[in-house]
Amino acid sequence: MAPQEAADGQFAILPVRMIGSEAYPVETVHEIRVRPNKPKFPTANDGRTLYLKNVPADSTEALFRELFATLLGGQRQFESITFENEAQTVLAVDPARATMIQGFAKKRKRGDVEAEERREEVAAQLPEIWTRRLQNSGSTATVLLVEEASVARVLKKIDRIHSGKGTQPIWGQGVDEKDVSPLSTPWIATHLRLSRADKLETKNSVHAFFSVFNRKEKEANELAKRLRNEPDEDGFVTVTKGSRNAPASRNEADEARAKMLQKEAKKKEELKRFYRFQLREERKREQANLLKGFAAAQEKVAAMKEKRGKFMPES
Amino acid sequence: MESSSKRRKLNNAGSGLKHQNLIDFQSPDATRLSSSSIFTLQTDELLKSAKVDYDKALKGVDAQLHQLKTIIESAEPHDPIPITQATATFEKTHRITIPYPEPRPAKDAPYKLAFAKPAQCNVVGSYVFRTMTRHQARYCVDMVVQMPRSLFQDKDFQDMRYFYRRAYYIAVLAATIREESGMNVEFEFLHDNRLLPVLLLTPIAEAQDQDDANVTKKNSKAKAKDYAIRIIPCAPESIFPASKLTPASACNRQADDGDAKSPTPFYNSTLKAESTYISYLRVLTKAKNECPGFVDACVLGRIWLQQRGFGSAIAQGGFGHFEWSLMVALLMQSGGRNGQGSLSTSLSAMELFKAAIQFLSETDFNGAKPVVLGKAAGAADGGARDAGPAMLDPKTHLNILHKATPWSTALLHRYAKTTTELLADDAADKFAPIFIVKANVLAELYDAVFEINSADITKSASSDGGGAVWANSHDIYKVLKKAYGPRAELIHIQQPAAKPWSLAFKGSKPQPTLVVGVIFNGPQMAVQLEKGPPAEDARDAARFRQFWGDKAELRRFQDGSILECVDWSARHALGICEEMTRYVLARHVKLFEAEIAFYGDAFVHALVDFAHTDKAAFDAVRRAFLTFESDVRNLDDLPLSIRQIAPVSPMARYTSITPPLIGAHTGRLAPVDVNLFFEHSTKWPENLVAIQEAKIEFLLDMDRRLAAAHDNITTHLGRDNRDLGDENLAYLDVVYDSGAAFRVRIYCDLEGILLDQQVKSKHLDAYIRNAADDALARFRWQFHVLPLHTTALATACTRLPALSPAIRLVKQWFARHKLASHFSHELIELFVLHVFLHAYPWATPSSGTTGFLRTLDFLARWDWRDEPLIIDTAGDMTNDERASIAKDLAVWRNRDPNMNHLTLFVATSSDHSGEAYTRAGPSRLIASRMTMLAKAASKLIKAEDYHIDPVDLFDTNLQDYDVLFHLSPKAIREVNRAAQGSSSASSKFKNLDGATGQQPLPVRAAPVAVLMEELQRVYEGTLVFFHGAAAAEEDEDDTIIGAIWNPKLKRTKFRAGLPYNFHAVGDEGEVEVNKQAVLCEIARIGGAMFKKIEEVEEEEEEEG
Repeated sequence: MAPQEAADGQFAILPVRMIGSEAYPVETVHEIRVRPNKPKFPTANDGRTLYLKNVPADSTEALFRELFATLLGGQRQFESITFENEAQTVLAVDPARATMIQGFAKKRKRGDVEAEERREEVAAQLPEIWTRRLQNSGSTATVLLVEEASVARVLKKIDRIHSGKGTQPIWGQGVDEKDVSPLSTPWIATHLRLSRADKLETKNSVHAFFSVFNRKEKEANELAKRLRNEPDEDGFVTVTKGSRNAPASRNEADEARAKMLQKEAKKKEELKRFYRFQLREERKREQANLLKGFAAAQEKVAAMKEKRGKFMPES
Repeated sequence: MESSSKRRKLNNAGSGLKHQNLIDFQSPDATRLSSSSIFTLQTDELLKSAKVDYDKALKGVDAQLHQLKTIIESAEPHDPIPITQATATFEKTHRITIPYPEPRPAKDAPYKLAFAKPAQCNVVGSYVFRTMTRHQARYCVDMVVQMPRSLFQDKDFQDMRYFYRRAYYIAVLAATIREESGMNVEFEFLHDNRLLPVLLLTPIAEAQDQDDANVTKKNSKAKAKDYAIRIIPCAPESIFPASKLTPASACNRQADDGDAKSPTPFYNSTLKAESTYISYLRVLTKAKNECPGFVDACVLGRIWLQQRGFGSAIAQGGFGHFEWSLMVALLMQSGGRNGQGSLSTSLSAMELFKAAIQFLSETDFNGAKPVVLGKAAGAADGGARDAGPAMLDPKTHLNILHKATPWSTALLHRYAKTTTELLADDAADKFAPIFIVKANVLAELYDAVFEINSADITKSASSDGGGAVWANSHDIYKVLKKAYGPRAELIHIQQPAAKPWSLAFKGSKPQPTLVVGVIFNGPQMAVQLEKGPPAEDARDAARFRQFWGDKAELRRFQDGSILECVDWSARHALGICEEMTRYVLARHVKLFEAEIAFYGDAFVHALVDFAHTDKAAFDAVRRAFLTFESDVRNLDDLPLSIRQIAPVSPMARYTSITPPLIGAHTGRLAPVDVNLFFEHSTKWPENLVAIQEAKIEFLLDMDRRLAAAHDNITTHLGRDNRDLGDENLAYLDVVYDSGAAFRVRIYCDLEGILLDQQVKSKHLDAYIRNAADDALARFRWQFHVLPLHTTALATACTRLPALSPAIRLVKQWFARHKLASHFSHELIELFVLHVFLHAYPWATPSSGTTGFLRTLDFLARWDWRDEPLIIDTAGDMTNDERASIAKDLAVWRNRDPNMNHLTLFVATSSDHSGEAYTRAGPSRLIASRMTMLAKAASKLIKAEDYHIDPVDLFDTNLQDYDVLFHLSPKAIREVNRAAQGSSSASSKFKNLDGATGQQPLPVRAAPVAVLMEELQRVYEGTLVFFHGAAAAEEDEDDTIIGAIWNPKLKRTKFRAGLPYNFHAVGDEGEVEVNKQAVLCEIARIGGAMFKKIEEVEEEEEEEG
């Protein structure tokens, strides 16, 4: 196998040995593809980041820390790793009104207030029910190293492995068991235990959530009020909805609408077979429908004929 | 508005599960041509394809017939010789055993036999009328040879004398023909009637080897179809006066020593029929000439009868093509007003067919008065009627149904009735069930099938010509009918068919085997205690005791009545049927243990643990739910008022494989899922995540109130396995001390509205919209589809008692074939429900077994590529709606011809979109596998019929998978224990374990299900897993998970976006799935859960 060049966004292949287990006693090589990270929107840290493709499904930060320690000969080179499923967008938890208002004006806040709010938002998270998350098969990750030089060293080391000078690292070797929470039976059992949520804890987090949520709603309301009164730089006053009067209940609205539709339908119905031309047209339509139905039937029978055995009584 | 409500009411009254009414001419749909025109077109096509090309298939038959005629007429006549002498000489010279009917003529019989040139030779039957079909087992050309009047004497109707003469005549013909025609000549009983031997001529096969020629008849089905010519001697017209041959006359006194004159209706009718061949030939010819549709109507009738196993032979029910055409012809001749026929000759073939079916379905041939064709019922001459079914031709007074039996006509009647219902049912596909489907697979037709195999049934002292088997079957039928009473709707006895035999031997002995099929009358068969007449009614009580013997006992009931009773020890319908049958047959017919073999009880024992307490167990869940509902509703001042509490679990609709056992110590709680609907409120926050959080708050609030109000309740808050917070996050487990457990989820209507907005929003990215679409589908599934489905199924299960066991069997079938993880419970339930609602060509199944077998048959037949499955649970779908659903499917298929998104299209009355049940799968791969398995099963059922070993149907082939994961039951038990509480508390010894005896805590799902859920997510595009237990369940027998590599994954060029674990192969930069690394990963993830991971060696052919 020719070693892959790590230039031009090409991936290098990092082979990792996997030791078999009791259920599947086969030793194999897993291939992780590695290249320097080049995201679409560059950030300050890109120079010391590696982009990984096809990480093992049971990857954790501790496992990768150890893997890079064997590659680079020391743990201090490795800063952190972000997996694909962690980078997912966080759902908008803003009240509807806040989302709407945000478009009009950015709010500015003092640093300490923001920090306090961040803390509140963390408290609002429900307790985790998994001790460890699995990565999707073939998924990606970005590894942040301490310095830019480490990136080149990693790639060089991979080259050495391919040329036979280095040994292939072994997955999970040298990892302290305390750092990695186990999979297998304890993992499932703990998950099932955690799924039976602690009521008090959950309650607290729900309360925390709503205090954040209500605060945001309040802020949005205030902002809306302010915007209502202030013309912007062009002299326009933003139109925002006033304080919500309890609207007519949806049910009532629906009922009213249904009634209206019924009335209309009745009106139409009364004039339906009224004139002679209408009757004539209706008859014509019926005839056309009959013809169409017949043609469709013929088509269907022809289609059945094409499939063998449809007209053959079974024996 | 009033009128519309009235109309609705009318509509509902006519709808429902079954269409008992006949063709509803008033309905607006009846006049619509769309469904009937396609049926007509299909029938035309069938007629076209069924036409026999006579020039090709029966080439040279005409010439052969001419030759035969000459040969027959050249036979040498001779003068009367005493019968003993004639027999001896003839048998010696020709080495042909004269096929005298039993008993053979006495040695000292005084009369003489002669032979003379036949009065006429005529070709009759379907060859002349061109009503043969290509689907017949063999083409049979019938030639009647009318014996001249001079051979007979006036008294020949007595004591089989006519039949002896006839046998001698045919033997002489056989000798002549064998010498001169160059065809295979054999004897055969005409229509299994042991009085009527005929000659069967088959052309000697052109194949050179001798063996082949000997088994021509057998091979004829497989190879190019052979034909046969039957030479049938018959009597001259009106040779014996009809008055001598009434059903009540006793004409065969030979066996009875002349004293007891028991009437011989079968003998009489057979004799009467002998002289009618030529006159009926005239009747049929007249009908053919007068009515252009007659021939095709006969062909349709022939196919209809053939698919239902009916034929003119006694073994086939004694109602075949000839009887059908004669019935139609006679109905056309007379019976209507002003001397006209009751059927018009201007009717088309289809109309004649429908009319004939209608006639069959309305007429009771076993009624007190014989049915006279072409006359109003009851207008018959006041003579006695046959004991069996009767359909009289008013001119000849012949009972056309003399070969039929009470049970065969009952079956015919039943078929005709379902066909009439089908013809009136706009919704159903008519063509296939009427003409295509093979309906007489006994295992699919009868709820219980048993074989009686005893030499005794071939012995009998009956004088009525039909033979011992005929007489004994009637006796058995009478006994069984009396024993079952209202428990059985239909009892059918299949008599053995007679085989042709070669000229040199005596007629073949009848096979001593009867096959009895029973159709249960709903749940009646399962009633354990048979209640008889009260003890005061001495005569009835004595009769009851006489019938049941020692089994009868006197019992006193709670209402004070004292009744004669019989108590059966078996616990389920089939068992009781068997126990009863064995007992009464031993008592009254002297048939014992070893002579009766029952089939199919493995369906009841081996596969699903059916118990008679199942219904009660399910009912207990429903009752527990009602208690729970009232407990929740009675809570004071909940923040929102409750609109509805709806159960959504299979346990609450009689359909879980194992019945729920409340309070039994199974070590596991099985909570019943329940949806809680609040009244509409504007107070919900307008944000999906906030709604979910608010729901948790609600659950906690409810929990507090429930705990305060009831001290027999423990509650647990549980979390759904969701990463994101925009779908339901939590549920509340409510556990009663009694063991009943409920899992409550809350519905919020705003959730649906918000998701809908997201789906329709133009500002959002496509992937967000798609995610919202999926979330919306799941939301609708949980809160709209499931509650309706549960109500519908629970109603159907109470209305159709066999539905629940059938569903459970089918679910077990899916589970054993490891398909259960791909088919939701609800989808499987719909399959079975469909089979029950559209049972055609049969009636609604009355036992779980038949329901199960027919479901397999349906799955094998269902062409899901083109056909939507429409289940009208509410019975209110119109034809237009059905048409638009079919159109939707066509649109789907056009857009997505490879069926990547929606494979099965299943619409119900509450969901016309067709995707609610199948949006999340099964994929095309899985659906094809289902069809493949069902086809194999269906083939096996057809081949083995009632001899089938049910276990074979459930046996799955592990070679089909690429990888097998063997689970470790020990590890699973460990997880279960650990999941119950703090892991340290559990001890190895049960008596030291603090948890023993306590109620188990509810868990979110079974450990294996949790593991599979994760593996499926991680390896979505790589492996397809097959597991027997659906999510959240556990089947302890099923310790193997199968998997196949996704067949779409081929070796490919490397891309950064490949969604699976790959490694480089070759030098071209190509990659493919790194199978070993994947399995290694799974082994690490599962750890001790897997005992072994095994890669299956590929056999020659890989399963796709």
